[in-house]
Amino acid sequence: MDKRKFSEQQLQEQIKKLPKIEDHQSKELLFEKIQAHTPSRKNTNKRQLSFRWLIPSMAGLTAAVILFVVLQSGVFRDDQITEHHEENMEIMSGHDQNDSSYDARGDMESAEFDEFAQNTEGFVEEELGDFMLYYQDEHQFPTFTIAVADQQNMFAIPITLVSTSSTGDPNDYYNRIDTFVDEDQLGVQTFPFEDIAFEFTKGNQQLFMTVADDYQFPPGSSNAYMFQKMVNIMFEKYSFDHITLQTDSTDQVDLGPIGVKDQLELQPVDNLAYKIYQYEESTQRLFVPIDMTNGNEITNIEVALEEMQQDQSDFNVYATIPEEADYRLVTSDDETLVIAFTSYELFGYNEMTYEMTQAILATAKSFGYTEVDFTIPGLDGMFGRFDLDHPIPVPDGINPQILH
Amino acid sequence: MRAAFDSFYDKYHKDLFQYVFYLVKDRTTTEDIVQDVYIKVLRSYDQFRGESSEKTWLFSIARHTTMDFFRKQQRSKQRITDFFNRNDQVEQVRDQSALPEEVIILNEELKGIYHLLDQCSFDQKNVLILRYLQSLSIRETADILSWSESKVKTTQHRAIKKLQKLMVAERGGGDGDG
Repeated sequence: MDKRKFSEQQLQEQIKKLPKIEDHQSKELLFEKIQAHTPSRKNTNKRQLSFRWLIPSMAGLTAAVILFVVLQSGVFRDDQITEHHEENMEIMSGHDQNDSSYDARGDMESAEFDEFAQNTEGFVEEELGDFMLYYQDEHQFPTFTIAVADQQNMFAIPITLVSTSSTGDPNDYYNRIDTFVDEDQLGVQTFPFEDIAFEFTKGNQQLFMTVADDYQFPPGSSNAYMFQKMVNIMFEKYSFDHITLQTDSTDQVDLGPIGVKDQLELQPVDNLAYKIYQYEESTQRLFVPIDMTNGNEITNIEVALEEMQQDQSDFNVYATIPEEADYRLVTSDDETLVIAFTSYELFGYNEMTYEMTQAILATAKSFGYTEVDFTIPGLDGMFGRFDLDHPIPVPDGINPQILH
Repeated sequence: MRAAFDSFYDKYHKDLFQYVFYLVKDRTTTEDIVQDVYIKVLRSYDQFRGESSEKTWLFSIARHTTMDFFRKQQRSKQRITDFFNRNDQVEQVRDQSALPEEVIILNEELKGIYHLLDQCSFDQKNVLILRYLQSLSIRETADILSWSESKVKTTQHRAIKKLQKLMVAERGGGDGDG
């Protein structure tokens, strides 16, 4: 044997002999430092919120100022704008255009015109960021909700798959979940569903979950907790109250910390506060539903909206309603939630306000409302895809991913 | 908050500090990361459901916080590398951390192992530290890393093999500078 080489056993013993490294700072000093970094949640959040939303808001304000200057300078008069708009509609309708009609637009190119026309209703969609909700339109594409976890395995995040060319059979989607998720792009992790087969019976009356006889549930109670959260979200719309469990040859499955079960109860997915999850600047922003506040379940929409004003930046989760924003709420109607904000400097045709609007719609849905009537000072009419002059329906899906 | 901090500190602080230190090998950085870990733990304690052991939960957060540190360091290292266009500038930055006194007094063999740990991957280091310095079981290690037990065993085996090879290379190399 090579004398220079430790045996595995010897090496393990040597590693164990490495010294304990002592912390030289006192317990009191450490606690003081921690306290200094966690003053009151509100103060910390206020600072972070103001800074994070400053840039998009300033961009929006700058764009508004430029637009104002352009209009005031008379480069485009109102009658020209109307004319351009009408002509544009004709172009979109496929009507023939002659040279004189083009001349009437002056020097404005078609793309510029399109942008300008949109600006008269609201800002272009890029100013407002991604649209993170899904509404069934006239196409009625089938949707399937899957779930992923944040990087710290604390929160289950829904993703709505919109299948534009589908058989509509959920078995085609729930058995290849990992193929739909780009973990790096989303900054999330997937549960190892590849070891599990889900089977919907005809008419989606019952749901079976089948695993191999030697299946091993992923270790750790956080995985068990996350699994339960995920299946609750994924199968919510099917109205199952449980999943029937089986292995290839038995009617029970060992779900680790959940226990050995023949069926897994599905828990209701309601009373949620939607915030933003973004793992890194380069990863996609996603809505994440939060179901606890200060260690307690969220019981009503008032509490949910308050929770939406709080950052949890250690978990890459961020508020969707500015901490400083005030609002009045009318919840007496079971169908329509009325929320009227008071004036707030950062409200405008910007990404922050657009995300807030979307998050409130998602939250309202989880409390059973079907629409939300918004009053946001400084905003009316069309705001991105919303018409703020009327109550806005709650969405059909969250974090849509269109499959082609 | 004080009561929760006292409880975590009294039960786990020495182990937590030791764990993070061996991952980053720098006392000041360890202090910063440990502080961040406590802040995260105390802020989210109300969301801890007791479904995993406190220690497992604490060490999971420590692991993620340390990973975040390395990610940030990697990004800044990349910026430095881009600037100098020379990797050796970056290596010099890394080697500047002073050896703790506990290590200075070790014999050469143990000092060698201490340094060679850094040539293992982050995952391998994690397993070696948790298994041999923290004396955790395969199961406990798997829980902290959110891995299967078999993955822990495989990684542990590969880590030991790698250390063996590195030690032979270092001794055989003679005049190598490690």
